[in-house]
Amino acid sequence: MDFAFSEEQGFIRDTIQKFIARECDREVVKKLDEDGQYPEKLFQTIAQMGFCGLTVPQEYGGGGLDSLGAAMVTEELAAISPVLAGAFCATTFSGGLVISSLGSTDQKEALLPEIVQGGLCVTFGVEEPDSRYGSVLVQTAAAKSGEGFLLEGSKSFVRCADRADYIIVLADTDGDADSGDTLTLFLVDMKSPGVKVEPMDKVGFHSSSLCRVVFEKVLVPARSILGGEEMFKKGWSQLENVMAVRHLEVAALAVGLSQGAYDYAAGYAKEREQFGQPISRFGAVRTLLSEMAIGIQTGRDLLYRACWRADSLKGFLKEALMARIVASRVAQRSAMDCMQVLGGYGYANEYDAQRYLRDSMVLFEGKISSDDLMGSLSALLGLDGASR
Amino acid sequence: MDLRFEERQEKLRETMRKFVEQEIPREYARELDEKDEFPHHLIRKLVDYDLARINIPREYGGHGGDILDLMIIFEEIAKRFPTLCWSFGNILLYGNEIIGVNGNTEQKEKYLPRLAKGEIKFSFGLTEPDAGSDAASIRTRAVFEDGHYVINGNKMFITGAGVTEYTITFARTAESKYNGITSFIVDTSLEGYSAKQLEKIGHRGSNTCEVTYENVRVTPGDILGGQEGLNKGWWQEMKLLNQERLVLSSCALGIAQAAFDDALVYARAKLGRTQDKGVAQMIQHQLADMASSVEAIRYLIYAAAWKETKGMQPVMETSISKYFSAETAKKVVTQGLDILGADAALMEHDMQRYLRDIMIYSIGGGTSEIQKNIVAKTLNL
Repeated sequence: MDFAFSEEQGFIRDTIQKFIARECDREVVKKLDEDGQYPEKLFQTIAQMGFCGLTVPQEYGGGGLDSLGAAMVTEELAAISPVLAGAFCATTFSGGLVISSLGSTDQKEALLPEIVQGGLCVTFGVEEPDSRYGSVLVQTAAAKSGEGFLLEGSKSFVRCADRADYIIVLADTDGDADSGDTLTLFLVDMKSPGVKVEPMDKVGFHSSSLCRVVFEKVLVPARSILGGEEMFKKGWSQLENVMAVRHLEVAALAVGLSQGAYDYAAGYAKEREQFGQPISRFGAVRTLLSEMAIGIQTGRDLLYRACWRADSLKGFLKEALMARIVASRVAQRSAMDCMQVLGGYGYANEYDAQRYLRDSMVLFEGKISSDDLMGSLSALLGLDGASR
Repeated sequence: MDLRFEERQEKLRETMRKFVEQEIPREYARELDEKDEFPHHLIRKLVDYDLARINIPREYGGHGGDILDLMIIFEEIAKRFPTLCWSFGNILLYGNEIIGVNGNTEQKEKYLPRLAKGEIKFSFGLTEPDAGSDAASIRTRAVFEDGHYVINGNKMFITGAGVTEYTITFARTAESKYNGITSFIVDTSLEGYSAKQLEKIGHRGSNTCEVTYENVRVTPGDILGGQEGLNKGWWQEMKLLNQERLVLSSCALGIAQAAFDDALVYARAKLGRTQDKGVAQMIQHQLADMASSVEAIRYLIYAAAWKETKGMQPVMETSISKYFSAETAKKVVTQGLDILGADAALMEHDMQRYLRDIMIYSIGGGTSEIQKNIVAKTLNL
């Protein structure tokens, strides 16, 4: 057993912290949130620092598989800007990690070098307006048409679809689907004719979008099947990896957001004086902050363990899901308690507590509610009666 | 023992439900939240329903209502648009109650009839940038000069300060922490008074402001309660704390109820789609848990209020009500978020607004921590 980080991981954290201190202070992030402006320039700087290759194998120009390193970067960024962290996730996790593990050789050769350069944003289209993760109800259909498929349907809660280059789409590829594996994952170019994007109006993550994506007779070549043509109708088995990666992303964002809220609240509590002393000395405030610290560490440990399993090429769905459940709860609690520590100032837009709270609500993205998560986890634990 | 509301109270609740359905459709509440503008129009409607005089004593032309009436009104409004509770509080609580309880005869005669007609509103200027939970440490000063009190200082988080005609201003008139505070009735059109609206996450449209007093000159006759009120501001405020805390508790109840109601509709639709019976039970139990919380808040706070109307001075019960309702309502809303999942973050659902709105109840009107201090003190700890 060894909890030590590699020298490289230490360097990663150090570098990203310096970047934040230098270029991404609270005022910058606040302005982006108020203006609803995507942090394009900041993201490009991160890309230039080479962090986008953290989940890409060396033969494709990356740094080898280090999702733990990528999670650390996500965490550090989310502490100050969950939106920027989300952009990083779209490239490294949804893009790099998924394509590295599920992509065909052609797809890897074509896309991974671009991901390393930070030039590619990949997003997921799994949920649909009427579907839930627990009960797979995929109405988006891909019917065979000549050399490829015609994609028809819509997906909801798609992160950053308005700027994504590719979307990984779960579609039904069997007209009369009543038995066996009928689903296929497609890696669809967002520039394809017939792809329409409609942003959803949401309470947080104001500088990035959450969208509905509509596919109207989108012609998708057979080589766009994630993993190549031999993965036709193998979408269900691939979905485990895709979902695990999404859980990792949310867990990393949540841990980072929580840490940011904690740092903000603790900093305020040490400065703010009432009754002749800093409020951090009061038992009530010490309890709030200590509970936050415990929660954050718990979420982080689960996250790192899931990353370690991913990097060791072990299955990590259950671990990532547990990390996500814990870290999401902690993020909500931390954002709420951060506001409580700041009191009236926590409620005012001039301070960041309200942004942490608004952003924490959007962490649920993926149309996944607590019963969906617990339903999935209990099934993984073999508690749903189905044989696994 | 009889826990039923009186017929008169049931009728008031009926009136309020009708008012909310007719005057504040859901879409309108969303629009007001987005615009962040004071709901003058709805205040006018409430006055037209003859509700502004509800808690004015009969001898001044009111209906002589009590705290239970206020709570019924506030609970029903809060289910749809809690900002309006605060705005109406600028008449009922900070106008009628303050003047009714602490004003002298002259002040009651001058202000109460106009409050009843909705011609004037009051805000409550106690909190300062550096005096929040430690409210008695205020630094705004009123200095007596040439027959006038000259007020200088800053106030913070004063709800309605930019739209009310008067503001009750707590200022230091002597050095003693608790016996050196005087409350003045300040006309907001006076020179040197300025209010700047703060942008905030919830209760949008409440016109909560940062206020500056720069040589604002008032007369000794403007002291709340007249000359006898000099240096009595803190103790005057104490008499109103129970009222404010109970009213805030009823707002928290209204928001919790609304979150539960929305979650219930959503959960039913979800259950229709859920094939796994175990998952269905998770949803059912979540709702059962929320229902239990709402029920607990309801009986706790109305029981404390009933004691208040019977003159039993339920100080501890009131603090427990405020603390429990705020924290439990927060929990109910987060459970509502859990039920809605990602949908909860969308502006097309109200759950995100319930969270934005509920967060202030464990902060304003005495934080949860302050309420627990009071309970602990009552327990001789």
